[in-house]
Amino acid sequence: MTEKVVKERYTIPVGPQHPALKEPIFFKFIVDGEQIIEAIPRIGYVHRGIEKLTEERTYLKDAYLVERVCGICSGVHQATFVNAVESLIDKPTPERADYLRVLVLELERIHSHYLWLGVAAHEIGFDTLFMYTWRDREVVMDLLELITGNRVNYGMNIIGGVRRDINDEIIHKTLKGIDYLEERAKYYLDVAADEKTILARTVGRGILTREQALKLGAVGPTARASNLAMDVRKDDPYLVYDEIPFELVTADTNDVFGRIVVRVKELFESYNIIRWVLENIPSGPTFIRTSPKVPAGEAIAKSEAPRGELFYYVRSTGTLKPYRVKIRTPTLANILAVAEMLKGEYIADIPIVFAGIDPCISCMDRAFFVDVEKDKKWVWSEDELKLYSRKWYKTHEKEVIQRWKR
Amino acid sequence: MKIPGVMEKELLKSVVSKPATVNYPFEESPPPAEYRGMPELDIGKCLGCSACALNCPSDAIEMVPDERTRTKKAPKFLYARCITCGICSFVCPRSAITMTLKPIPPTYDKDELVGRA
Amino acid sequence: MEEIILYLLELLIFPGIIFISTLALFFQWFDRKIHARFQNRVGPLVVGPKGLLQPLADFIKLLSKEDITPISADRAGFILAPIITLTLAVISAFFIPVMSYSGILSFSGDVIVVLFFSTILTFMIAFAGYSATNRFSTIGAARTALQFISYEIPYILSVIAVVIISRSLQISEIVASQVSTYGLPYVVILPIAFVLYLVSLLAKLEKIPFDIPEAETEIVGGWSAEYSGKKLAFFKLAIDIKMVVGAGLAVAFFLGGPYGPVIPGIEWLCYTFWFIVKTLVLVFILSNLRTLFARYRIDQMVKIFWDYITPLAFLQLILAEGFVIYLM
Repeated sequence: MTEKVVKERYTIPVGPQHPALKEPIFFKFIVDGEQIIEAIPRIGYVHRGIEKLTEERTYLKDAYLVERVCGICSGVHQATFVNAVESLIDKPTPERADYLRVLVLELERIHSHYLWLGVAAHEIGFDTLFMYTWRDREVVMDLLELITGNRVNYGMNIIGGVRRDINDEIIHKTLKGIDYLEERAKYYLDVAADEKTILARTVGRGILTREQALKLGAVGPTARASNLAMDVRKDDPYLVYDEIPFELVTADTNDVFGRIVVRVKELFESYNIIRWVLENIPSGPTFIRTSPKVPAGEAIAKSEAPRGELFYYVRSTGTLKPYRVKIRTPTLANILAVAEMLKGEYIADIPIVFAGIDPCISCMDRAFFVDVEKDKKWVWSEDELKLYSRKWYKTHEKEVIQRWKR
Repeated sequence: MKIPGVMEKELLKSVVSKPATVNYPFEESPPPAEYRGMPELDIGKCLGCSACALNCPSDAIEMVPDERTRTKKAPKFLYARCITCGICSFVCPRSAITMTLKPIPPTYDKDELVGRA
Repeated sequence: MEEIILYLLELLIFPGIIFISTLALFFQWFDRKIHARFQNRVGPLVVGPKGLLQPLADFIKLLSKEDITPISADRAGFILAPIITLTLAVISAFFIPVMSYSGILSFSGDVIVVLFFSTILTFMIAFAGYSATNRFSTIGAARTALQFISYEIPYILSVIAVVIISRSLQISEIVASQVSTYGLPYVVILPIAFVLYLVSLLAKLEKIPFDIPEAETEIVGGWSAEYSGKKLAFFKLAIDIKMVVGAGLAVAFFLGGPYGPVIPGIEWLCYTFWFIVKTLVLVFILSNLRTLFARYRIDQMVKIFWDYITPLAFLQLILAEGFVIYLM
């Protein structure tokens, strides 16, 4: 991120509050007329310190805290965290629990892609498609409410399995809902491919070539639309994905239109996965009892969130609370790609190109340090932060004690 | 040459059909039976073991003195902090807590947001 | 003396300022309801029966909000722009024939005067965006000017095709020639001009797919970003009255004015009724077009208008001229 601001050009700030952005992030665009010369992102507006909060709560409470990192992909955050903790505990979770987890994760992928279709249509001014896709998304939300009890923040997992079970009536309603949604997805694929105004706004915009995507570390449908065949469900299967037959969807147009096509085609794959899961689900218990103390060790878990590859690292020292939890969300990997994509585009294309990576800024935020006077930026490791905090408290001891006494 | 306006037929169909929205709260829109609403306690089954208070992710349950349980303590729910996750009803060894179908109400009255059996 | 009072009443109430404002708010309600029904939702519902008073409630709410003028804005331009826009919009609505052949004002050459007023209205929008000295407003004003040079030529050319056929520059004579000379509304003789007029009207009223200067998701409202309170209320009312003027002119030029079967004795009421019915048909078509498309980018819009629409307008002019020569 170079910061050489050329003073003669015009700078347009987008964010932190802007109708195009659903969450606060700041972009400084250096423009020449309507063309963008450079895009400089700045993050950290909605950093909540969740990784620090996980160190003060037990593992079960953490599973419910980590679910609230993001509203749209909440299920996959909880499932990945619980996966990481369960690989530290030696007992295997029952198979029925894994199948139910896959069911909820795929339903969440469907809901997230429909939401994205509506938001992207709204960014290009096509409110009708926005209303139609969100009306169809209500079918998925009702199914999720039937299975888990809530429309977002499902709370399905505990350490050792899942909490709820499904019966025949739920299976029947799910299959009927999936059939309706498949019809609608076919209609949207036709509309997106044929509607001239959508094609005029998305074809050829936000180009990210294959080499650029590899170099900048793009993940998820952003990378798959640049002809990179990366998907955690195929490369590193977790839960039951090594047994389920499905196809990896890629497109080779490198632009926003390719990302639309990839996401809509992934919907069809999700429908097939759900049908396979509901046919082949084994019977058995849905959870096992585990001790609240997790044995010492470190574990990682990866999964394919609707936006890309989600990565969790859990380290435990044998007590009730984790020592460190680290989360790396897919949008953080795509931000550099989007800063590259925006060079050379028009101002009118900023919303759709930025929405094309499906940004989830609340997942993504990080904290870093900026010294405005000396014009320096840096990031600290754990030991440096502890050293600095001890020095600060020594010099400001009297002041801190005064504040407590009040 | 493709003419723009592919969705015209769908639009005309929508004009003559019923709107997809429900005029809540003037019309009813009941939640399904699996919905997680406010938790409620059945004091007859409660032991006072504090499992619910220890496991609540948002610390919304406090144990207060109560004569009717074995350990002379009973949970008090603070609904302003409750996230209706249902862990309290899951870990209760006697299944004394049930999740009702009522959502946590928006109210001006602070006493409505505290629940005791 | 009596005549002066009657004239004042006509000017103020019917078909004057109050009638035009009420019609503008009614059209906004109709447009919002149809837009919502196309998207499978309900639209305004609560305020008044079936939500009829919702635009009035919005107008009154805006009048009561705080009116902030930014420090760095050009005060004179910032305050003058909504006043001039509303005044000119209402004055150009006085030319529309509602009750009979002619509107309240009518003289030879008033077609040119109405077109000139509509040009100034667009220029006022660019002026408003320029006076606000906000980055986004400046971009919006630049886009308004760029859009203006693209749609204005086909708009005027389609009106000129009508003028050529009816051989007069007075709106009342154009309506009269449709009723008596030809017996047909001009939409039958000049269908291309009607379609081009509608498309240019979409661009003039800044509706999707051509609402580029006021794109909400891209430039935060463009020229209207810094306006609030009474000034914004006047601007919104002026935009609605522009819709009445545009639709009313289309009815007068292409659909035969407010003429239709009448009940003798209360002709003026029947003519008003036919006027409202015909303009509602136009508002329905405009609403349909607004719901159907995504928003174009500014260079795509300029390309469409200069590559396809303007040559068609010239073609229509040649055909109209040929028709007149054939008739002679």
